[in-house]
Amino acid sequence: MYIAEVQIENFRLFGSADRAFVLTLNPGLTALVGENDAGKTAVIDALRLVLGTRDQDVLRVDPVDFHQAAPGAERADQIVIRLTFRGLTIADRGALSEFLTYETIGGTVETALIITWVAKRNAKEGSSRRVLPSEWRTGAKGDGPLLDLGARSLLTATYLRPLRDAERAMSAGRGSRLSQILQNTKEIRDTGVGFDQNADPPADPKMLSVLGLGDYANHLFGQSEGIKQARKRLNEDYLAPLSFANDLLRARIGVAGAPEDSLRLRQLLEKLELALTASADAESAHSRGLGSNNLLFMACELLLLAAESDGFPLLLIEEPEAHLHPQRQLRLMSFLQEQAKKERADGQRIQIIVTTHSPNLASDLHLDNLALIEGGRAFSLCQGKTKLSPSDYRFLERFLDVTKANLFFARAVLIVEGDAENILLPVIAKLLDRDFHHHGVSVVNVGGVGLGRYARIFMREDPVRDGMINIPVACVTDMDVMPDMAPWIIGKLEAGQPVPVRPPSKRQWRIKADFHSDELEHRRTDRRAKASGQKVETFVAGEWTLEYDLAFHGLGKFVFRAASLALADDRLNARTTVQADVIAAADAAYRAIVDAAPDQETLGAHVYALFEADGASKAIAAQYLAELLEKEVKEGKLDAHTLRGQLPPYAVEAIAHVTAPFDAPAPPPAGEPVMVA
Amino acid sequence: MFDDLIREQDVVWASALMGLGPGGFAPVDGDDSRLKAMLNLDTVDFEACPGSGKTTLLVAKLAVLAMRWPHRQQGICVLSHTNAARNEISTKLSNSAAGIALTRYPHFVGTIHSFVNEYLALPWLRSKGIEVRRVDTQIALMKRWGMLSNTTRWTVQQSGLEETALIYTQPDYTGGNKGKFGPHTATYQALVAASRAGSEQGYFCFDEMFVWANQLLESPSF
Repeated sequence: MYIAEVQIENFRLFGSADRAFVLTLNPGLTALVGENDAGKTAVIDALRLVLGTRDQDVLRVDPVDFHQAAPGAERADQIVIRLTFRGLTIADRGALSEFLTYETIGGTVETALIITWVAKRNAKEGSSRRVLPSEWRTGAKGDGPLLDLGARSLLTATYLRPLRDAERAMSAGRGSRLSQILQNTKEIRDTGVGFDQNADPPADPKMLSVLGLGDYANHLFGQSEGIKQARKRLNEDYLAPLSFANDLLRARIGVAGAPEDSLRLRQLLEKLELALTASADAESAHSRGLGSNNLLFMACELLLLAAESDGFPLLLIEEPEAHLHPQRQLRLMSFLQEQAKKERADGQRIQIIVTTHSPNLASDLHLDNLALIEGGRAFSLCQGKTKLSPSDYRFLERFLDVTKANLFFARAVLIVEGDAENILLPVIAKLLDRDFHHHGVSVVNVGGVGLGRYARIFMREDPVRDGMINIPVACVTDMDVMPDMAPWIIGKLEAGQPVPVRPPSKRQWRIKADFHSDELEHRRTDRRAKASGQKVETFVAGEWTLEYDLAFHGLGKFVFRAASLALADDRLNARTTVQADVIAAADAAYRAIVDAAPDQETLGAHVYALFEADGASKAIAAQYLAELLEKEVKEGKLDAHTLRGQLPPYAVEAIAHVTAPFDAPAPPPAGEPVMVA
Repeated sequence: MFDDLIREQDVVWASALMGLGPGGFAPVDGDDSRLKAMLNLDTVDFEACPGSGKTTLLVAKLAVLAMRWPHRQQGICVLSHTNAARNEISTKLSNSAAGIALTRYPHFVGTIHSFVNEYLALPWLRSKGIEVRRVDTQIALMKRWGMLSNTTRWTVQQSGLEETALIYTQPDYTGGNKGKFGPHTATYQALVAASRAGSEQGYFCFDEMFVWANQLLESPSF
């Protein structure tokens, strides 16, 4: 049995009707990801309220848990949380038959358990009880019998709170979690025999059960000569003179022990403490840090869940990454995924729901196991729910790594194809007063492949039913069509060589002349359509590539300088030349190109030739360009408004899409004075 | 699975609980048949004359079983033709924890009708979207009878039938004693329509709950 659907109404940030929260879950592991305050903990708390947890802490409904539609508005009257369980085993169906709901789907009858939990606010003025006792209803409409306490106890979840204090949970003490766990461990209860006072000493103390050993020790304490003598002295020297003749006071010294087996076992287990050792040498007292203790804690809880023979095994972990370093996080996640696949003796599989802020964890999970929580809504990323195709899922499983997984925790996502965009766009955005950090934009560099695949993570298959993911996503991509004169300038063709006709030529590059009438616009539309719609938008370079378009639109001088610096990078690092000299030389060369260029296209192509023909690194040039622009703005030679006018429109639009729109239109590019032939 | 669920010291406790004093099941003159009966956990048939204490024995055993019950997902199911056992439990055990436990999850005490209703028919009907208001033959038939036109009622009565013609034995509301009326007659169809309408409003005859329970048990994949 597993929870297949969670519906929450009027609880904390979740509203009602179309603002209610609906999350569908698959069996096994589900990770809830999303930025802070998205509602991840509210989901976990809702589950805790309905199912209850095995630890001693009880979560109670507080009046502030009732949803407030707007600040100052009256709070909702009742919270409704509805859980649908599916995949019931025969034992589940037997144990819960009076509460079941049967759904006839395609001629076969599916069994589900639907629990509707309702908490009402006490509207009565002046009552100290602010929330009325909650109800557990069953049935599709909540019209079935109320769920009895005994049945509810079958459903209790194991809950691991965030920033848990594992050391305390594992240490000795009254009501310690370790003692609870051990007490329910089969091996502790069933191994060995009890201690029999008549068989003293026992034939083989090693054969005694844990409780038997405890009882034997207690018995030995009572027999100890030291204790006997102390008691004798107490009785004879002190109590006897204080007693009346007919009412003799006698002392008895022994270990306090409850008559009930289970109680005595608990008292014994509470004396135990779990500690990790550094090596196989179990005697090593070297203590481990918070992280390791946390792992140990989780291992114990899993041990207990896996060993149980009845009930519904649900494990809720908030932030399993707490205190763990990245490699440990990955190991933990794989371990949890393995555990969730195992079938218990009673046919149940453990269902695990975690909340996480860790890109490490998120990157290690299949998208099928992820649910994005955003603005009080849940978006399962499993197949069929997103616009991703099966091949996209396989691709993303291979390539969605830690550096890219931060897209699950962003308020906006900018997906780029190369290092240059990755370096430049955040700087440009900052200079335009659209700081990506401030706007919570995460930039994902996909390195040339699968731009649209990453973007489609954010597109819903059925946005009308599921709603849209309210995270703006901008994909920035090149047009990859060069102006007609460029092949000779950037060295694709020798002077005088004609453009090879395709086919038979297999040339990959394209010039504008390859496209007739509106074919060029079709190419643009096709590229845009790969990932556009809902909150996702693809921005295609107006002309060719980012560098060319920057030069084309008015930053030619800076791009030329940056490319020249990139070419001189080794010499600059070796200090055999200085930036000022490189820039002076670059400016002189640039002046000559400007003077000779008949139009902006030729100028741009010549600037771009530094990358294409001379081999300047785009990444290094981007770094220099970023520095040059920052310096220019810092020195007051360039302001945000003017800069915007000199940028390619598609880059500005992409930045606006993931941050905030610009109010005033950009000024016309001042451009470089171009000599018109 | 019942090993050791009833121990000798429990018999004394149960006897006192039933108001028989500590020795209610103790051997008398070397006859320990009552004690044996109490300790027996095999399938067994007790026969005795009225008033000899069969129900008392049953309830005493149940009290011990409920007290010692180790399972969370399985319960004790007590089925009887009448509510005698249930009444006995509520009078004799109402003050004990065992008595209260017996009436709650996961145990069941009641008639075969109420068992079928609770665990099969009612969840199944609820799942069909039918809100079951009353399971009572008299009320259900009265409702259905009222839905028939005067002409139909007259026709039915003329052929020697009465309200019971509205009881169905199939989940498509057919079956039962419809007298001379064949499935194609208007009267037959009017009877079926009234049975359907009355059922969809939530009024059922006692035996019809078996029809629905049966439909659930025979449904594919159950």
